[in-house]
Amino acid sequence: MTSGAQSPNTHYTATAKGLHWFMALGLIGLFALGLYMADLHLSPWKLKLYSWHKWAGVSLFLLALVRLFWRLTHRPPELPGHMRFLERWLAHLGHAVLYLLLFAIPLSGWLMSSAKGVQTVYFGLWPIPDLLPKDKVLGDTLHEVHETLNWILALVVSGHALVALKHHFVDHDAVLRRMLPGISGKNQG
Amino acid sequence: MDSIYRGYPRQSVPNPLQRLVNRAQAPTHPETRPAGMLPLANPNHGGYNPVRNLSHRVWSKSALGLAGLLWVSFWPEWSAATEFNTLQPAQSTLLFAYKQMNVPMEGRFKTFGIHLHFDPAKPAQGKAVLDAPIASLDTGSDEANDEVGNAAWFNSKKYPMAHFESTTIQPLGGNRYEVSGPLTIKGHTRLVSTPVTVVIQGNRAVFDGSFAIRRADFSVGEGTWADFGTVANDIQIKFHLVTTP
Ligand code: HEM
Ligand code: HEM
Repeated sequence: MTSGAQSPNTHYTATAKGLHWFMALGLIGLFALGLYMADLHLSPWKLKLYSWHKWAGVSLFLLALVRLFWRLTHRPPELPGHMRFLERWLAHLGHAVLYLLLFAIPLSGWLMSSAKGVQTVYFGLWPIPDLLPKDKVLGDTLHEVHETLNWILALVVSGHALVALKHHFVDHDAVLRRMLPGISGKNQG
Repeated sequence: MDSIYRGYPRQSVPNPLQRLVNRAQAPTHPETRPAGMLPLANPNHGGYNPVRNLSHRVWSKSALGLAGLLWVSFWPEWSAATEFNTLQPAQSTLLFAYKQMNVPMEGRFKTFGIHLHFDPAKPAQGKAVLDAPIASLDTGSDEANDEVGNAAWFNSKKYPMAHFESTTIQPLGGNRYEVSGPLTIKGHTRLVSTPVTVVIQGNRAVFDGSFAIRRADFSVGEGTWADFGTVANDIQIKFHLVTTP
């Protein structure tokens, strides 16, 4: 983390890269798992998947907290100079929305589970308090919220990834490279 | 005729015929009894629900015909005003707690019927007969409610009722009793006993207790569901019965 403080404007630290890519894989996996499990007929397999989904979702929520802490204690690299005002503004907005969703999605899942009366017991060991009393209508609403937020995430991430690729292949700037693992920002200008 | 109501005001006896039906002897095989045969207490509707299904309605009519006869034979017992025999369904609950992926879950019977004879002066001579229709079982999730009636779970077409009948009531000191008797679910009968605490408040007697059963003893949850790793074997039954004379 100290490396980030030494050369704050050229690269993401290993911590930031690790969190970014680990969470990206985790979110894509959980998204697919969520869609798959929700359509299954009730079975022990389905109940297991639901629990695993919730445990993984809570884990990603905890990682989001770590990531927010990183963000508040580090300055991300500057955007390349060729970007116009609107592009910079969109990039910041997009990243802010992504951060927001990193919290809102697991929170909506937790609230939904509370309202549905199915407590989350982290790894089957640690009960996480229910935030809401059992309420069927509210549970169904929160399910829709969880689902909608997920589709917003899918949309924003698609745009995010496309823009990242555009930076690399069209603009030929360092935006994608400075987030890629293995390419040490420390040694780069 | 008014002497029949000795000890309780007339308006507290909404339907005397109904109460006699309530006391009619139930057939001994719960699984052969049509669903809804007992007066069914439905807390949702705040009381006795007379038209749960057609067979019940038909049965009720013939039962009402019999009521005149029963009236005569039961009346001496009725005159003992201290018995708490009438369930107050809106205030009573029959719950079950279980664990699913180690998550504590709670379900309940939306409807159940109970014959109760409890005279605080002669507790050991008391009797409790409980019938709970599987169709009224609420697991807490619609998805699971659609599932509980099928063969792997309760096979409610073949075994529509859960049935308990007390055989002994042992005083445990104070207001506590040990009630034992056979419990029949899905055609399997097991002897169970439960501690019961009785609290009498004015004209109400409140019975509270809970006991554990194992779902495998009753073949509840077969096939892929037999694994206790997902739905645990231990089920805690909790009851809270509010009764009046
Ligand atoms: C953080 C990342 C998460 C992602 C990306 C995610 C994604 C999804 C998706 C895509 C679905 C399918 C929605 C549908 O089509 O019905 C879903 C369902 C669900 N999620 Fe999440 N989720 C996350 C976190 C959580 C958390 C933390 C919990 C609970 C503690 C949770 C609980 C649920 C439940 C219970 C369902 C199933 C709803 C139902 O079918 O009734 N999720 N999730
Ligand atoms: C679920 C998936 C993803 C999420 C939630 C996500 C989220 C984020 C967030 C919040 C940032 C801003 C970091 C900061 O400056 O504080 C970021 C940066 C970045 N992401 Fe993603 N991302 C995801 C997937 C992807 C994918 C698939 C790609 C590439 C194709 C990608 C490429 C990048 C790049 C290159 C940056 C650095 C931008 C810069 O240098 O200003 N991300 N990502």
